[in-house]
Amino acid sequence: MSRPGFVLSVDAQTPPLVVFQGEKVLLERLPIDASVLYPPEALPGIHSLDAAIDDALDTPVDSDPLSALLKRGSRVTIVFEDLTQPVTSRTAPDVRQRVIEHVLERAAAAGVDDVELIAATGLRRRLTAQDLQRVLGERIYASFGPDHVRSHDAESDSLVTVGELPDTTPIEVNGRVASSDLVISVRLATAVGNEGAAAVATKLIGAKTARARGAFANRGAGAAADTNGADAFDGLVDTIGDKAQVFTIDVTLTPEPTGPASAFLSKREREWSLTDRALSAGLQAATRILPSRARVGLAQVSGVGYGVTSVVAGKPSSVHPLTESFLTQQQVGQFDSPADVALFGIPNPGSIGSSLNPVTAAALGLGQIFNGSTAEPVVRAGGTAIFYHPLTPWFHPLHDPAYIDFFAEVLTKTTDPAVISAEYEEKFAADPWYRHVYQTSFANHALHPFHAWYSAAPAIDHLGEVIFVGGDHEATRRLGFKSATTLADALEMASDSVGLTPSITYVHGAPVSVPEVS
Amino acid sequence: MSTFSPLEGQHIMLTGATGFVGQAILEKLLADYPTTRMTLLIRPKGSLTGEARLKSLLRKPVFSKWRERVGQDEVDRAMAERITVIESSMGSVAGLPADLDVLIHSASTVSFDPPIDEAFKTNVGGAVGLYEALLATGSDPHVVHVSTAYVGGINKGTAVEASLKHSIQWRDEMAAALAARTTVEASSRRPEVLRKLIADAKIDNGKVGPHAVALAAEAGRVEWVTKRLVDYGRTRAQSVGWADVYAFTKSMSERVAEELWAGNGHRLSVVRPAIIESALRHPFPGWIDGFKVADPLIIAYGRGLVPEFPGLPDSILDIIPVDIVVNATLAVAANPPAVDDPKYYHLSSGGRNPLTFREIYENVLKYFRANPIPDDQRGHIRTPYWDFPGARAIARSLRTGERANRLLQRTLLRLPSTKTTRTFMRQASARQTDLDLLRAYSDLYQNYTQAEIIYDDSRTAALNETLPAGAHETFGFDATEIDWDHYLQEVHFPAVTTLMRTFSSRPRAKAQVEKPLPHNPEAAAFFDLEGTVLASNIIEQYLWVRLASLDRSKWPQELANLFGSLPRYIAADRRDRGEFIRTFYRRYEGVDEQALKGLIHDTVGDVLLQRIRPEAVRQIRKHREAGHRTILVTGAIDVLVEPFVTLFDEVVSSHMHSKDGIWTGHLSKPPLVDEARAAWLRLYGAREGIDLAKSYAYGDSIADRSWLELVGNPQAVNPDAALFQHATQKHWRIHQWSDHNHSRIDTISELLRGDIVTDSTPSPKDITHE
Repeated sequence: MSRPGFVLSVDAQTPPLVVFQGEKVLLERLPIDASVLYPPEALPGIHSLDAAIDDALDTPVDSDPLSALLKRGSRVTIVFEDLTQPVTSRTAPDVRQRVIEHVLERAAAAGVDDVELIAATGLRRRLTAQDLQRVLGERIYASFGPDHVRSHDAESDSLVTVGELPDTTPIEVNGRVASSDLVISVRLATAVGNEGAAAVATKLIGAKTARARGAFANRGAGAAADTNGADAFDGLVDTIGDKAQVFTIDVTLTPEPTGPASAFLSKREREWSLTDRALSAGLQAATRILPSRARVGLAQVSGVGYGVTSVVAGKPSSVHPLTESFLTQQQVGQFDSPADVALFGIPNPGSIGSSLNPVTAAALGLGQIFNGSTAEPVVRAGGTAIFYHPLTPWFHPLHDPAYIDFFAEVLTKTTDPAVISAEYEEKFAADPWYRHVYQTSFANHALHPFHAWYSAAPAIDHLGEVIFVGGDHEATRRLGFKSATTLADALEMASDSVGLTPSITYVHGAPVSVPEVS
Repeated sequence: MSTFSPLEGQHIMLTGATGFVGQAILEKLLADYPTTRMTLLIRPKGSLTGEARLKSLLRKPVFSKWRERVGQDEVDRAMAERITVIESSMGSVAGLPADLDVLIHSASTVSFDPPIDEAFKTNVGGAVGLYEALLATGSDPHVVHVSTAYVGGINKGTAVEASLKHSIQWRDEMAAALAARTTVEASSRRPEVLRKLIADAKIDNGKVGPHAVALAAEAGRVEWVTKRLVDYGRTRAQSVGWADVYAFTKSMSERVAEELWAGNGHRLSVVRPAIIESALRHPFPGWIDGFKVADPLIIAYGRGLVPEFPGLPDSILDIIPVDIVVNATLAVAANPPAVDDPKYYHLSSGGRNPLTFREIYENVLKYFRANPIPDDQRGHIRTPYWDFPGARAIARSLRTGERANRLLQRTLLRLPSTKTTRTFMRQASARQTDLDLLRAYSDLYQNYTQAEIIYDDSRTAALNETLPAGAHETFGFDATEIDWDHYLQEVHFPAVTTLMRTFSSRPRAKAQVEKPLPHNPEAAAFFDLEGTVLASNIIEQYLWVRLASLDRSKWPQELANLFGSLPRYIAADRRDRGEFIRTFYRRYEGVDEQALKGLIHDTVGDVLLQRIRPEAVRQIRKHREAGHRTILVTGAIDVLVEPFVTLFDEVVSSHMHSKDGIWTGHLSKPPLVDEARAAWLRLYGAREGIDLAKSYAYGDSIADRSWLELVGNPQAVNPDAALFQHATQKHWRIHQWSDHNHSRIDTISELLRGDIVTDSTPSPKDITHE
């Protein structure tokens, strides 16, 4: 057991605290008496990962060992996490590669020829060859690519119906997955709330199914994730369709990067060593000097290395609760009561080549309210959330074409998710161009911005005010929020609704990511 | 006053009744000479008959006071019983009445610098036609010939009220003036002139295409002829002692009146008004019909556009209110001279009540400081102080300004088009407008503001003295009565600024609100690719193809080769788009089409997609929603256009000629650029039943002009400087779409890292067969 989470009460001696703001890292002095929630320190990483993987595969939970499930002539599909989960290391092989290599060894030993690898991208963009190599390693990519390593295609013609949603929409899943004898699912998670639904099939469904499942009307207030659709997928946890049996390998990661260079960012500031202080000063100086495009790279370099804390394999319905409870240990357990004002920093994600567009950044930030590092919202209903992010209206030209138009054409008219869902969703979903670039290039699906925006809706309902410190004025306004230059200004703006002496809670560290949004 | 009724029961004929002075005379006759009858010589204009023109004339503000006083019935009665209209133009006058008592000839050209033949036709030919027709009737009216004080010519000292002293023969001048057009037309067709015109037309229209060059060259020739004839007029006038062709022809026309009318034993009076401006009292203070000679300058000054002016502060600007001119003219009409003794009258203020240019300036300054013109969104305009540094200094600074601006514009036209250059371009053309205005004013007013001539008006003064005691109020015309400060501050400036406000109070163009495109299944939207839908060009496309296909070690060599050839390509592009495309596409010689297709599918397609402008995608979608057919027309090669095909209903592109699957570097057909595309578009519209007038076209370069012009809604997207200039002039919609969503440096580094390689080995493969 590692050091548990901790609530610091800011006093005059408290040093400035680390706050992420997009590609920048700020050192902010918080008002006296503000509470700072530090997450528990990461569990010690597993020392011999290969042994742990072997062990998990050979002694799975509620299942025969993997070798026994692999039979000559059977059709096997390996499903793995896409870049919503961080690439665990820049230098060593990614944990996905390590796990899949072990799986492939056993498959080869069993004489299985028909193996395909599919990235569980849901409605997210396809992985590039570069991405796939980074995640799977050159060896796997060279033996299977390009034809037998693919990303899931939600608009594919070969989807297979395996069930029905409560509203009678058929559940269509990836054809290859449904026609497999064995589906081996390699899953990664850093925190509660981002390990995804129990059924891996939710990340392998067709666009129509995803649309019905993610429809705004299906999202109850107070719960960001699926409440309605989840039941329908209960039958798809252990098997998908008539024959595909699912074998899962769940890997949990430390909640924050533990690389040597940037480790100090997740340390408690009062405990910083001299080296940490020097690194911090260096980082501050660098962010001041470098242009913003270069700073994106800086933040990415600094966020290296996630430790693996557990590997569990077996029958999904048995493994999932274990994973969930394991991750719960990493949550901040106790805090007194929801505060009037909550503060969150939002860094750009460590995954490669992605600077957050404003819609994603907002959805990610607001996701913290209900799906954050605490079990309950840290801010009371009607309270104020203050986020640190520049919300620069920059969109990746290949990844975000639907986001560009969502931001330019939809959010300029309304930010109300009910109206957006009624008036625009169909138009985007039916647009041939979005489908074309989703299928042939690397664009996120046209529904992606809608689901991101819907996921933020419960938090927006819950909150009285949402303020972005350092937010681009126009972009912040367009999203329906307010922008402030400094924390003091933000608190001044919030004082109308929460008074002049609100209780303040700062959730230290980087946010956990929200499923379906990255 | 009751017994004084001049021109009692007389029949008066009036020419130029629709002009400024003509209207005023007509109004005065109607209002204060109740027993007179009028015959008006009115030229039909377009579809408007003379009668119709009279009808609309009577609705003008000059008659409002009179109408108010007598009522509409009386107006109708007067029109029916007192006025006769003869439809005719000057020069061919037929069927004049034989019972005329007075003829007031006030028709003339209003322009100061018309081509010489037009000036003579109107001012001299008109008088000849009129007097000959009048002689033919055998009647003997008293002719009042309205001339201008400026027939006095470029002189110093006092001009007297007498026949002009010069020996210029109007018949010779008239013949020469009419012959001038034939001469100039002939010389405009000389190859030396035409060659220069073609060369000039090529500078602006070369990239548009040969047809546009021809049209521009011909338009240039017509303009050249006009300019030349204007020059003939001005120079001839100055060579014989007049400031401009207007004064010159007016003095010739005095000679016509003296020779044809007085010389044939009839009574002739000549009135010579100076600069006629708004009414002092009648029909109401400040009445004016449009801007007159001095007014544009006053307004320009009030707008802060005239920083300095080439006038002499002590020179006299001879202004005379229109009601004084009217009263004097009618008094002259009522007092015919003896036969053989024509009388001349100066209607001016300079002799006895001079107004110096400095006084006018001080009044204008005072007026606009007290009543500044509002400047939209920026408060009010502050008027400048004048220093009167002298004509030479001003001419010099104006010339320098014009040269600098021309140089700036030339330079901008050669620079690549960016937001900044477009802003400069806009500023430069606004500056050009100001400079043109200044140049025009300075040329026009120089003769007035530097005049050192004083028009003696003692005969006019004496005539005014003959009025009976009570008649001065209604019929008086004493220029000494004018209190200039009062007249300028209370009467004239308010009148012209009101006029300006009515002209300029048109609702300003509001911030453009995006309206949904009208639904029309017969409309189409044509898009250009490079620079319009894509923020890239064919050189860049080639570069990506090469970089993606070449081994990294060969990059420097390829880049050096490409950059080395750039000047050649740029020069070719400046001459002709088609030539550029043909030259450039030679670089694709030896490319294996299948390999290239694979490469585009894997890598280059995504590089190109990064260059797509999101606004373009949205615009295409809007057109589709409105039921328009969307068509991409491009000179780019079909294989490279492949990634965008799904955006459009139809794609028309170039195709490379290939032999055994290997490109030869030649196109299989001429590229669809500039006028070739226009011709294609016309044909396509006819064949497919597209309503081009309701259609849209998007282009970015001046080379697109010819085909953009064909549709009803041409749109310039991030236009180059030349197209920007054209689009601004023609009020085309100008879009500013985002330029660089993804920087080229990023793309190069992605290619280096192999980031955007899809389902194939990321190592580059060579697509050419060397």
